[in-house]
Amino acid sequence: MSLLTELSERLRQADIMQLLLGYFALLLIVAILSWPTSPQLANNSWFALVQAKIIVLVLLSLYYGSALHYAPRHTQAATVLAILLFHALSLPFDVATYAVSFPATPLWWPPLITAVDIVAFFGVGVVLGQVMQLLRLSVLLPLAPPALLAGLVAVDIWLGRSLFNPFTAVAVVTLPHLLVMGTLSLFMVGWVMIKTRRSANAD
Amino acid sequence: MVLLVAPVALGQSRNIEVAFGFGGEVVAEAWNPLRVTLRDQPNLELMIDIEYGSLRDGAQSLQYRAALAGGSGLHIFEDDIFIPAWRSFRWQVRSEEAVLASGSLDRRQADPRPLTILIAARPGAYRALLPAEARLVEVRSPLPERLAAYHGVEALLVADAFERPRNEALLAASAAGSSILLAEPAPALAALLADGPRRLGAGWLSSAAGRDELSRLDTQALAQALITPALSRPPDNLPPLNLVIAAALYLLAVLLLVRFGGVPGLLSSFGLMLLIAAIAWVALRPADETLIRSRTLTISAGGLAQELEVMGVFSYPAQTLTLGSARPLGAASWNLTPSGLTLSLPRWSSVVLLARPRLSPAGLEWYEGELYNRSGEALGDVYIVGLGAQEALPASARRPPQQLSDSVAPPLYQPLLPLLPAGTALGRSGGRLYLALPEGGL
Repeated sequence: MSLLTELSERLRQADIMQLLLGYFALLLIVAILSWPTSPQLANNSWFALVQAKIIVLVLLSLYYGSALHYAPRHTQAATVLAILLFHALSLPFDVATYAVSFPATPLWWPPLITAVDIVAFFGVGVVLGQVMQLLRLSVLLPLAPPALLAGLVAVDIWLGRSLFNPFTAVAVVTLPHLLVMGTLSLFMVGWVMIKTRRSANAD
Repeated sequence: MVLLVAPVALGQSRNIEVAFGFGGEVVAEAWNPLRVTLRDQPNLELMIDIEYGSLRDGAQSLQYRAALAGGSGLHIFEDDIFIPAWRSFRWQVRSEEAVLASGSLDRRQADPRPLTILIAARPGAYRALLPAEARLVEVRSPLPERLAAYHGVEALLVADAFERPRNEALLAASAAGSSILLAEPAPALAALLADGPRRLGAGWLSSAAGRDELSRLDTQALAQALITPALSRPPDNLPPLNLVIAAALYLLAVLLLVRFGGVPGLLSSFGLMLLIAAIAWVALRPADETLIRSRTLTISAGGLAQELEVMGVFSYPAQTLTLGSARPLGAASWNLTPSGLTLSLPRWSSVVLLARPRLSPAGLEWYEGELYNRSGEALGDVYIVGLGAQEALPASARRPPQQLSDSVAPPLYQPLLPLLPAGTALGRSGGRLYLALPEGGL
């Protein structure tokens, strides 16, 4: 079964469809609420939208990563691709709000860093799920992703630079964040590919 | 020269002289002449730093930078600079290695009262002709021939000067709105005064005895009256309802394709995403990142005219703009050079600029009792103060004033009317307004 077919199958599953619907509804609400009705007010809709997007997508990645740490690698790959597709299909919102908000951030940065963060945080979620299972704390798994995210934000504040915090990195070009998350993403992709190839050879 | 500019000459060397205003007197909140004299100096740079502002507006600063061409012999640099009511005013002339001359103006010297310039070899004999409250300054140096230099000058009394000013300088001052009072007019100008005081540009040409008949046109107030909120207003946003409809249709199509389309649907949704993103960009992105709306007012009389311009600048992104010579109203920090104004605007912000007043060809003016449109474009909304609305005036057409039934002034003229004398004619072509002052002593 090809990766595209896997992705298509995964997208038809109820959990992903419901989340996609909810995600789109959230973006629509955020865009409308932040869209100014008076020309005297600055259009800041892009800033609200990219923050909403990154929060939802990073949390989804962490939750799915931690929940699917035991799942077959192709399921993990299809799921992370589904979340990436969420991101891709919502790009018209990014473009539309960027066109009128005129932020200083280049247009290509938020889509790039969001995609990198999705893959990286999915990998972090997988590791988190395994650690929680090892520590026999799986019951606390629903609380772990937001706690981890808060911890990463706190580390950034403590360090005084943006390495792990996706919320600040999405609106400003931050090369250290790209470096850290890009490395984590490559580890994640490499790990999934190696495991998938091994299981395919075993079959 | 050195003696006359003594108040501002502290700190400058014998071979570098810097003079602001006329005779060392600077008019705050006005364009003032600036003159730098270099003798046997290399290429240098003039740097002026002015801090101003109020509790309401906050701290504001103006930086002026000009390259001074040097070389052997005498080199003179002249320009006009807008000087706000300063809290601190520092200047220096420097080479790459060192500061060669520097100085400052005390904040107690910041005086917004316009100047009355007296050009006379025996000034005491003519002081009685001028009102006691006039801010009088005696000038013996050559007068500038630039209109903006006279922005803060109310009147020039030219008497038996040992160095008679050039007619070009007097006409520039008159076009700027100053009253030129001639105690002993040269023959060329005396012919103009045969029928009494007459308007030239925004000012007057008169004999010294006729000073009391003259009323000064407040050109600064006229420029301010051109400012309307629409000048710097951004265009309307797309209504949210349109956004909701477009987004909802897209999301519905994507959900259906993903749910029921299988792999082809997945690929189609991706293609649809690219298409919608491109459409959204084209439809929503404004054509220009900066909107500049301009309104000009050409004040003409006697074949001379002054052009005032206000500009509303709206910037979508944060950026640094370089524009023509102008001063911004309310900007926190701006830079002026001989070639123009540079200021940084935050994202989604606007600023109103008042351009440096300039000499211009006469547009609309009174000529032998008729309104004469010299502007080269058809003028609509023609209106005469005290007479009412007139018919439109085609390009190069002349027409006597008429009493028509419709005498309501266009809304754009309403703020200007209280500032204008009876008999003033107004006309407009788009954002260009033309004003013809009555030539006589009305």
